[in-house]
Amino acid sequence: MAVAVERLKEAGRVPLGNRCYTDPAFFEAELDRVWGGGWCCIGFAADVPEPGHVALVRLGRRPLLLARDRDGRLRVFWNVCRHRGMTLVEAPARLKGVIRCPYHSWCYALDGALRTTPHVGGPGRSSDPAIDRATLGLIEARSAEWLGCVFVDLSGTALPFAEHIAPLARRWADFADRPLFAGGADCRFDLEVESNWKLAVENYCESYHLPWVHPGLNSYSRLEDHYDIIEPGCSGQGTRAYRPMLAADGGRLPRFADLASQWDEGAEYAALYPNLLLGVHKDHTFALRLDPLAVDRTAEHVALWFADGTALDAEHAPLRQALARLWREVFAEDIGVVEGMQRGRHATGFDGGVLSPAMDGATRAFHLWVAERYRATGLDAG
Amino acid sequence: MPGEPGDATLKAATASGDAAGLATLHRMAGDRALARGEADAAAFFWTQAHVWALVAGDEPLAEVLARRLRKAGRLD
Repeated sequence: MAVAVERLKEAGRVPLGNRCYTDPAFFEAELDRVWGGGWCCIGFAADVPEPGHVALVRLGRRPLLLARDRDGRLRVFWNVCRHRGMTLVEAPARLKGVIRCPYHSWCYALDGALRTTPHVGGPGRSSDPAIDRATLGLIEARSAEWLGCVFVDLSGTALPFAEHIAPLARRWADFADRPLFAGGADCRFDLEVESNWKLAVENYCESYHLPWVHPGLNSYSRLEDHYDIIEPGCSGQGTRAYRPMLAADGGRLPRFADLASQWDEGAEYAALYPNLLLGVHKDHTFALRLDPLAVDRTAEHVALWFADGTALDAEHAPLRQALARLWREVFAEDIGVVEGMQRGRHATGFDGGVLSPAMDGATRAFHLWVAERYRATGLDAG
Repeated sequence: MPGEPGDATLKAATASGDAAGLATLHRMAGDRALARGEADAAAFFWTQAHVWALVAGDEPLAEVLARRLRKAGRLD
């Protein structure tokens, strides 16, 4: 694989063969080693807005739960009872009290502490010398919040999140260092694509396809206004001319205060590897979280955030909804090409393809990152 | 067993997710069992009630029940 990485660096060829996109066993290994080996996004903080809220999330088939504890701290746990491994949360809820296992009613506080183990020592006896409640709390995953998104490091050994996110946090300090206001239900939507998750990332990274796949962008975000973004752990594209018209009367959403001038007409779109596709603009941010369902099936969960609370009021509802429609349309336009690339990965004569030095740099950066993760974790992509 | 919550009542409270109602039903059943001198049955019902009080977020009731169970040697 090291040879393949070098080959990619030198010649722009792709080291990710068809198997990386089509083999179910490879997909499972990839989830364990690439996704599970470092930070990835598993949800949005707005999914658990208040103390007592819990939500089920999954990484592949791996069950996790988000919980906002009584002190308002967001925590991520493995969604399993320490007794028999029963899943605890099956639907989002706001709990008045503890998390109760539906099997034998072992109960956990929202900070993960095991509160009681009814009848564990026999009927009417909630204690047993063999069961040490102090050591049997929910298994907590290392987690972090950034730009409204929730990240986990299931390995527990990745770099501290602040270091992991530092390159993009520095680049987007104008957005990351201020409160964001999550849009409501009219600013959330889900899509599903019949493709491997990597193809969704690869498509998002580059602007090369914009004039062909997104002809509507030609009027306000032209190809020649775009540039590559390549940072450690992320890549994508920016535009110097983002000028959408959301309302015929020129109405606009409130803008983030005190932004640098580059954002007056600029916007940037970066894929934070492995699975978070982000966009920042003068009046909103968005995140598209890729949720790998199978080797050839990926859910896309999209959420928008705004500059201040007034953007969430009824007066701005038409603009919010127009913006959400715009992004839904753009992301839906990508589905055909992403699924086409997936079907193409079953062409046994295809060797991974080639990348344009001028137009595919951000995709190439993603390939290099993936190839390096494969190499570091001993995953054979051959 | 006399004093036990009726099956239909329990099923209805469980189906509706009425944790506070289940806590009350089981606490009362435990109290009745104790009045009959049935310590094991009382501990059983109070254990059930303790769980439902925790689910309902009724910490004062949960603490009352936990104290009873500790006093009876049923909870550390």
